Amino acid sequence: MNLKERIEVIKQPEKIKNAFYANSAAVLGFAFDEDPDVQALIAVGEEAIPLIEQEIRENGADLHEISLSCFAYVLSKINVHKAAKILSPLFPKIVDRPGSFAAMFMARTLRTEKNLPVSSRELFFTPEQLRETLRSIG
Amino acid sequence: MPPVITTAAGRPITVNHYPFPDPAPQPAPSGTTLCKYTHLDLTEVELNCSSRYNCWGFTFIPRRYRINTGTEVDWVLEDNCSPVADGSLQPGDVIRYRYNGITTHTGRIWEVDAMGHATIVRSKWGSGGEYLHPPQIVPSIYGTDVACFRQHAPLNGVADLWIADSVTDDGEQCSHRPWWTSPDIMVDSPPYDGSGDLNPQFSVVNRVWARIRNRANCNADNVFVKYYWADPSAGLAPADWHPIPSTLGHSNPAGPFSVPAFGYVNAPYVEWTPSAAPAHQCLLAITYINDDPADPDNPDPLVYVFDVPWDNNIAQRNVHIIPAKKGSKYSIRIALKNPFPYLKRYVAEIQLDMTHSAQLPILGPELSIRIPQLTFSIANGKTVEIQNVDTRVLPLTGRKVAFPVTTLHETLIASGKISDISLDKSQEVALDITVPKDARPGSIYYIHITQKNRNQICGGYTVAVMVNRD
Repeated sequence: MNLKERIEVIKQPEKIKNAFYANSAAVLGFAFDEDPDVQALIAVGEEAIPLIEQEIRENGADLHEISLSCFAYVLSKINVHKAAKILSPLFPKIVDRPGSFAAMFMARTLRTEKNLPVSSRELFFTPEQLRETLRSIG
Repeated sequence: MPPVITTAAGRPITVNHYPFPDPAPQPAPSGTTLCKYTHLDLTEVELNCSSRYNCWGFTFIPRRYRINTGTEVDWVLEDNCSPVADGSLQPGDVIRYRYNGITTHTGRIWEVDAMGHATIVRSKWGSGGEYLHPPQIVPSIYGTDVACFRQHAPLNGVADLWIADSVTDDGEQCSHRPWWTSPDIMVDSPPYDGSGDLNPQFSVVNRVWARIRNRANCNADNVFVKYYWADPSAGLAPADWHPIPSTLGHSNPAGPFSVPAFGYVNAPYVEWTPSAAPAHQCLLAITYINDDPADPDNPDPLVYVFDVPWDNNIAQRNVHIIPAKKGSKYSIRIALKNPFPYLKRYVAEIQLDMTHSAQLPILGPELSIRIPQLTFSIANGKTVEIQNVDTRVLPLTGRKVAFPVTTLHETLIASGKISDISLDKSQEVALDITVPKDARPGSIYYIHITQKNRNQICGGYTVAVMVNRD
C-alpha cells in the first residue's frame, strides 16, 4: 500500500478497526493505537505530512469526525509542531461542533505546542479550555 | 439545545447529539445479537448504527443523548450508583469497562446465572448498534477491567415517566419483585365510586385508569397512556396484548396530559367491558410521549416496549383477588404461554411460591402459620410438589434470588417447581386452594406463579386469597 492509499484508508472511518465503537475521544485514541493502518501511516514519518496537510487544507471541515481525528492524531505523533501549524486554520471551524472528537484531538495538539495544560488522564477539554486554545492560536 | 443534566450530587453531565449522519447499517459483530425495537403496532425496527446516543447515553438516559466522557460516567457511578460484587449481580445492574484506568464503556446486565454472575449484557457500541453479548465479547478498546454497579437514583434534568410494577418498585430499570402486581393500574366497576375495586366485573363497563409518575425534576408534557387487556397467563408475548377499544369520549390511548416533576397524575380512564371467559383478565398500561425510537426531541423515549420489568413506562396487573371463607375450596384456571414466539422450541420452568401476610404490618408474622392445601396441575399431568418452608429460618429481607422476596409484610411459607415444560403452545393449568379452617381472619395468602426461562423471570401471575373476617 502506497502513502496515498494509506491516506485513503483513513478517509473511510469504517476501515479503522473499532473506530465506530468509540464512545469518547479517549476511546477513539485507543482504536488508533491498535489499528495497523494508522500505525503504518505514523511509521512513514515526515514524508506523510505534506499529503495529510493537503487533505486537511482541501477537505478538512468535510472529513468525517473519525478521519479528521485520526489525521490530527497521526500528525501529532509524527511532529507536534508541524501538526499544530497545519491544524490551526481549521480549528475555529471545528471547535463549536457539539461533542466533537476531532476538536479534542486538535486541541490536544495545539495546547501541547503552546505549552497549555493537557490532562494525562482522559482526552477531554472543557468549553473554557477550548476557548482558551482558540485564543492561543490568535 | 440539550438539557442541563446533573448527577444526584449535582455534578454536571454534558450531553449532545453527534453532528454527523448515522453510519451505514452493519451486521452484528461475531458473538453478538443485534437488538430490535418493537413498535406499539408490533412492527419492528433494528437498533442498528446510530450517532445520536452512545453506550453511556443508553445506560443512564436510554437512547436520548451521548454522554461525552468516561470521567462524567464515573461521576454518575459515584453519585447515583453503588458497587455490586460479582456473585450478587441482578439483571438491570450496570457493567463498566475500563482500559488504562479510563472508563470506556457501560451496559446493562441483561441475564445472570444462578450464581449471580453476568451471562448476557445489553449495550450500545459507540456509533454502532445496540447488542446483546456475553460480558467478555466487546471491542478490545473497551479493555478487560470490569466492575458492576446498581443504580439507585435517576439523573436530574430529563423527565422519567414510570408506572410502579409492584408496591416496592422504585422506578429503576428491571424490577425484581413480582412485576405483574402493579398498584398503579386501577379498575372501577359499577356502581362507580372513583376508587379501585378488587377485580373487574364481567359483561359491564369497567373504568380502567393508571397512575402515571414522574421521578425526575422536570415536567413531562404531551404524555399519553395506552391500556391493554390480556388473558390470564404467566407469560405474555406482545401479540397477546389487546388494546382496550376506544369509546365515545374515552379514547385509547388517553391523553395528552402533563405529569409534574416528582409528582404523579391519575390518567384519564377508558371504558372496558371484559367478557366472562376466561375467568380473569390481565391489565397493562404503557405511558409514552411518542413511539419513535429515533426522535431526538423525545424527553422520555420508550426503550423496551412490551417488556414490563425492563421499561419503567410499562406496568402490568395480573392479580386475581379472591375473598375467601375459612375451610372453603377455590379453583382457578390460567394459561402458561410462550412469551418468545420467535423461539422454535421453548422450555420453561414454573416456580410456585405461597406467602402469607398478616395484612396489618404491625401485627407481624405468626409463629406457626396455617398452611392451605394447594395443588397445581398442568394438562400434561405434571404436578407441583409443594414443600413447606421453615419460616423460622427465612430471611425477612432481600435474598439473592429475584423474588418472591420475603418482606416484613409477606412471609414465604411453601414453594415448589416444575422443570422442563415445553410451551410451544399454550398450556392450561389448574390451581386449587383450600383455605385452612383456622386461618387468621383478615390475613392474605398470595400464590405467586412465576415462569422462568434460562433463569430469567419472563412472566407471572398472582392469586391473592383474602380470608374473610366473618
